[in-house]
Amino acid sequence: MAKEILEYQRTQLTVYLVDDDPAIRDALSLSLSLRGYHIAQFASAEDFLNAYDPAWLGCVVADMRMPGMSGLQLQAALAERGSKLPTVIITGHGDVDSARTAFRGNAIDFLEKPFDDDQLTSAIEVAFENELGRMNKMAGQAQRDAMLSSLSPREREVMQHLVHGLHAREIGEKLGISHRTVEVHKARIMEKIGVRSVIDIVRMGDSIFAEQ
Amino acid sequence: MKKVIWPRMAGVNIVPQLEKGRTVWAVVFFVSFIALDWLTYVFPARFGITPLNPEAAVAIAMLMFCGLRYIPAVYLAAAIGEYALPSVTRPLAVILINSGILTAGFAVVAILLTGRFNVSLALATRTDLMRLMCVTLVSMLICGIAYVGILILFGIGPEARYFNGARRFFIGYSAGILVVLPLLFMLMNEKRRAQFVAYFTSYEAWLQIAAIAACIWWVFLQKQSEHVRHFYALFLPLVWAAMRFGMPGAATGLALIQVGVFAAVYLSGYQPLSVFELQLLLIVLVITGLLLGVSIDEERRATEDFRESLKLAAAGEMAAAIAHELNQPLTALSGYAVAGQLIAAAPDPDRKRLNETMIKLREESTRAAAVVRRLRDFFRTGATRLERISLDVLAAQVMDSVREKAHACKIALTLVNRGNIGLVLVDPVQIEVVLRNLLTNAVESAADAPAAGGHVEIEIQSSRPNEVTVSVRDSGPGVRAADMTRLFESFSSSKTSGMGMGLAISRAIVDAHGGRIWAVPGDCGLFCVTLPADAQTGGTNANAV
Repeated sequence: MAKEILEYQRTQLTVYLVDDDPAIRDALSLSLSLRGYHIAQFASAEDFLNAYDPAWLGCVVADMRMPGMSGLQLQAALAERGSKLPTVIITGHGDVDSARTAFRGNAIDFLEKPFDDDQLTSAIEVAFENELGRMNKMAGQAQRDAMLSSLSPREREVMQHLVHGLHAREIGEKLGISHRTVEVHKARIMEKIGVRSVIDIVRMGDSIFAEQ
Repeated sequence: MKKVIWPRMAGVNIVPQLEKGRTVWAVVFFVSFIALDWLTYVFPARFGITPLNPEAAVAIAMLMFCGLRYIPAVYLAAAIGEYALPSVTRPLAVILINSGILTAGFAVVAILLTGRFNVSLALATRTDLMRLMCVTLVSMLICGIAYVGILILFGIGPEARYFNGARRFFIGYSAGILVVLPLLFMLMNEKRRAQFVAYFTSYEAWLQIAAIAACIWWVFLQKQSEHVRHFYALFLPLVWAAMRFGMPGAATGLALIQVGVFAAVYLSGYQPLSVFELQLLLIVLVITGLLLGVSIDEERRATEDFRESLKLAAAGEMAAAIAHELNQPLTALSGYAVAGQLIAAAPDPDRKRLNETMIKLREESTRAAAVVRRLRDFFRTGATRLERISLDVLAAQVMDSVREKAHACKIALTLVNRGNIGLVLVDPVQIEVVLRNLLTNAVESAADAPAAGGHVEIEIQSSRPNEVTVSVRDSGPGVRAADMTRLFESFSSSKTSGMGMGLAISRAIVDAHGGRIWAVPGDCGLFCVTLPADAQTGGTNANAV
């Protein structure tokens, strides 16, 4: 089962190739697409940013030296927009300073042209690995969000107090309702989020409220 | 045994002894020694000491170029001179001893200059020249003390005249060596010989020679007692020669002054003692002239070295830039190769796609080859070959080369030539590269904005004295002020085609020529290049507006 999901998830990932040299764009997208990657090409960082959608998943492969915005500036601009897209910087001008800047900006790799095909694909693989992790986390979060939204406001309140370790009677006093009503709410919560015990509620609630 | 002394002492012997015809040269030196000794046996003072002894320089040169094994020959020549020339006859013992003293003095100078002090034949540095002068003056002082001492010891002259005799020996021999030896040194050096040829083939050199003659004539036109007082006039043509032609000019000027002074002195019936006074002044003139000449040489060399290092720096920048350019096609090549491999490895290879990939692969290798060719061309033309050229002729040539392209884009080209712009001293190939870059950029930029009318204009003018400015103006969108700083860096091209290095190359070349290149931000494109005008022809009109 996990394998199919993984494969499905992989199809969601795209390599965003940003390079001003048309031949390099063409060659890399040809070889990468033959390896089964989805490719989107951009002739400049500006083009990429104009098209950028926060929902994009995958990996940005950007040339460092380009007319206009450089690859490193693109990396910074993406970070500024809160993007978590991993970046691989490729350059014919590898110097320590720019490599340091790239890695400080959480680049996956800094490849000097001409690089080996394997170097690029392994960097992309690392990036995709990160992205899949991020996707799962996002999926879990979505699931929890869905659960939470299925609860009524009162139920959510009760759950919050349960997570803080209060008993039904104490919750009843705080909310000004009888402890029996609290017990009913508790049973409903357990049913809605599909758990069997209060301990499970506490565990699940911990992760939900911690993230909120 | 004597034979081996020299090379050992010399260490790195930079005075190359003559390879071939050493004997012939020795004979030539020997004969010239006797001839010069006889020819300059004029105005002998007491002790038979003469105020000019150029034969001493010949003897030193003979020992340096033919080897110390010719010491006996020098001794023989000196003895002949001592025996045949002095007006007073001397005992044989005195002749033998004094010939020995002279020979020893010459040999010591030769050995010190070659061995310990390693003076280069080109006399290229002040150190070389100072060493030559000091060794000569000190050796001749000691020689004079010994020589006149022997004469007095044998009762040939009065003791009271000992100091004067030694002083005159010192003056006579120092003047002879200092005037002639630098000339002989430089004539033995190939580079210097070429400079002498250049000197004598320039009209300015003949003007200087005429000025020297005129000054000597003027000095000796005065009363005899005034000659010494007016001797300073000779500094003027000498300084002129030294300033303009360095050591070759100075050494030639000094030799001519020496000959002229002697001829004048001879014609005006001088007393020997006054001639020594003039010779002392001449030694001062020699030292000043040669030091000035060598300083000028050093300064010129420093300027050339500086230009060379600028060129090297530009070449280094170029090499780095072009190496980067090579990475682009190589990356693409490797990408296409992988793609080709993957297509071929598929169970049912897509032949059409494979073929397309292979075509692209070939295109990329052509592109890589073009980069390599450009690199090679740059380094081939990178060695500057400076020529005096007229910028408007070069600009017109470059214009012709882009005319077709401009015509295709419906762009009008004009060349405006403002006033008398004179010549510039540049490498035509490299400056052509700069102009072509600017012009091609301008045409492309104008083609991008057809609405603006489409024209490109080159204007050449002498913006300031000693400068020629070429401005290339186009009707294109121009450069934004924000882009100015990055404009001349490599890879800041805004063009989709091309290598994006044109302006970086241009800047490197213009810098190496000691000029400037800049863009003027505005609504239309404007690039300017300033090159130094050729100082020799002084072609610019100095009426700065």
